[in-house]
Amino acid sequence: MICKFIRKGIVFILPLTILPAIIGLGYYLHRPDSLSLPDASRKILILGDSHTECGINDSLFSNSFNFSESSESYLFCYAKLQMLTSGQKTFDTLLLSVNPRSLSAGTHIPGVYKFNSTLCLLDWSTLQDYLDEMPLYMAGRLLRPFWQEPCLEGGFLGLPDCKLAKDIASRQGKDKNSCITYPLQLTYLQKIVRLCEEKNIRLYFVNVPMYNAGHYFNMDNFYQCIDTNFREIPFLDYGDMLLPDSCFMDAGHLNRRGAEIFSRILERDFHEKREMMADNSLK
Amino acid sequence: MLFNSIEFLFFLPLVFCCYWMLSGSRQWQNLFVVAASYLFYGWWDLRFLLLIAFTSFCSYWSGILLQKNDGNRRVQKWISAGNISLNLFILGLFKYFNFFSENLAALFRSLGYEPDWVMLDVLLPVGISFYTFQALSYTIDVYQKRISPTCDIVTFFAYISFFPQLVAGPIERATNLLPQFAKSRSFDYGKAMDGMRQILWGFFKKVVVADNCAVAVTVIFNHYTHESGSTLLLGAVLFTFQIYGDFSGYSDIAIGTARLFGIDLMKNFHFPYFSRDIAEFWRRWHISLNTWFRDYVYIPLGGSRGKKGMVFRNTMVIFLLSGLWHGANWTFIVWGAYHAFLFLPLLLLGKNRKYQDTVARGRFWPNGKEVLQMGVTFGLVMTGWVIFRAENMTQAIAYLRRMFSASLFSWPHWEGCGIAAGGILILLLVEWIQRDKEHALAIDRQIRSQGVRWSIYYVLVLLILMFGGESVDFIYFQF
Repeated sequence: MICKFIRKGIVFILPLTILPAIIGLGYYLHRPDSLSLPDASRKILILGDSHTECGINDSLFSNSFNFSESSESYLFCYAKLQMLTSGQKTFDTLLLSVNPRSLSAGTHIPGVYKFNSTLCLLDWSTLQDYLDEMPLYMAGRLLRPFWQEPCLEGGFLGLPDCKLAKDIASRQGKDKNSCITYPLQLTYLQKIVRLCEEKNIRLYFVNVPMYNAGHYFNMDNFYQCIDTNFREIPFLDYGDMLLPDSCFMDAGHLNRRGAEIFSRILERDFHEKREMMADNSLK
Repeated sequence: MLFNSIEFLFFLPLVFCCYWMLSGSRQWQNLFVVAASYLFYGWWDLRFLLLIAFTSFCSYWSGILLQKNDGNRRVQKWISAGNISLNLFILGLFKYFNFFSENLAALFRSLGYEPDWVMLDVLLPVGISFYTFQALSYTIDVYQKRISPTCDIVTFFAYISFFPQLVAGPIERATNLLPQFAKSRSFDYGKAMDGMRQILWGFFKKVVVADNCAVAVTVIFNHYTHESGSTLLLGAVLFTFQIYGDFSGYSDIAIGTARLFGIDLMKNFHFPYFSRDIAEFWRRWHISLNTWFRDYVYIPLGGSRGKKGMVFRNTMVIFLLSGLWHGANWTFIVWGAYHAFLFLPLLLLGKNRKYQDTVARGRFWPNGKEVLQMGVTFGLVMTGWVIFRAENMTQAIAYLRRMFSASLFSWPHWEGCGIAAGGILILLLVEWIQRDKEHALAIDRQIRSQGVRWSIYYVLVLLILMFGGESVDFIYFQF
């Protein structure tokens, strides 16, 4: 009878162990070795979350390709960067969105483990980190590799609206975001820094204009984190840049008009800064 | 080692296989139980093993001495009193020394004296309240000749340290558990299968219901000064289910695990939130502890016989002791007193044994009166849990005051409670349907089709894997 009990136990458990094995196989079969940018002539890659997705128009910011995706965590940015640098690297500069929201994004923000086709690009160690963070009720989506081709998702999103007033009204009475750094975000940001060093990619952090950021975020904590961990990374901080209200989709994001203005300013400043840095290195 | 840990996932099958390989020899089997149980317990802290071994040895030796002095009642009284005092001293030292010391110091300070007291910095051994009471049960039962003392030290150590119920009960009686270790056990397929079902249900209650409720409860209780009355009410409800899911879940896992080894532990919970009055609630909640206090404290004090004053005193004593058993904090004592004052009117009016059967027996739907009774009882119990959960009496009073304020009628903050709410609904539905069964997943006789039964098990497993909350320690480990 005990053998019958053990046999039944094994038969019961078997499907539960087969499923993760099948999922693992799906990842193994579908994961490409490398990917490349659609346009190999562009040298500046832009990655990050909705701030850069909405804020930088890569048609106006020359020589750039915006691959930002709304709510994308640094885990996915790292995965994208890994894929794009595994094979023939066609870009030499990375602009990465770093803002008070991105550094503190934790489990209360679903986008930290935003689910898109980029999931298929994660290597085993990054996938493990992802699975540790992912809420288990999203587990069913792990079957995606079986019907979705892995690809890079992202791109400039020019939002036409201005809902700033409504957004400000909805934030009334709420506590400031404390901007306590989320460990996984910090870990992967550091990994991105190391990967850029390894692959000779010039890395810049960019903080796209926000509306009255100091009112909604604890900026001291944000800057302290940057100062402590990333002092050596050039930081293009436009968080406090004054723009007309009509340039904002909401308090955190620029709309199409705002992106147009900001992209031109960034274009001017960025290339000036690079020339300055090039001059300094020659001296 | 926690039940919901990877280590236990490997530990249990290994122990199960080795145990039944030794079924030819009861002595070797019991020795193996002791070794496995000490490994299980020592996983927390090796130092704990010294204490449990010492407690076990003292209680075992007291049984031997009681037997040697059979006929000399006076000496037997001293022996049992000595062992009881020693066990209570150890329990008091680890659990209550600082509490009494702090309160006595506060009393002296209020009189203008500044005492220079020694405070102990001791680690509270996991499960000390449980196995100490189990050891006491043996000594008292031997003294009262309910059971013969055992000369087999291995069997006795197995009785005290049996790992499924070692750290959070049920608090077993020597009369129930010791004879099971004293005889040979053979594998019972039906019992083992039912044990697995009970383990599965226990995990559902702990991992899906209790752990998900815990997340919201922690936030609400930590920020109670900023929350509305309705949100605080939500917090109280969630904690009511958290403590039930946690504790009864653990008990189900313990009982189910024991059945895999051919051991029957006593039932510890019997669907207490379907109780129609407080007396019924206390017959269904933490049954092992309540019956222990009833048999070893209440009845020896006179029970409900005698004058009303004596009955009042005896009832207050056991409820206060029950509260104090849970921990060294005024909140537990006040919680015990609160329930005593709810119970006493029923006892004094002779209505404490009114509801002995299952609510709405033979019917699916309860009638209006039963719904009202269950609702009122639930509300009273829930209010008590707020006191139990609070860090101190100031917080408990403030929480309750705020909960019953005008903001009770505002919309609560529901965010993050979806999974907990879903788990609670499933729990209530399943347990309501199964309320007259031994445990909620005792479905082998109702559902004949193995396919249907397995589908239910798979659904529960997937719910546990997909909706399992952030792992939180079993609440009753701290007791």
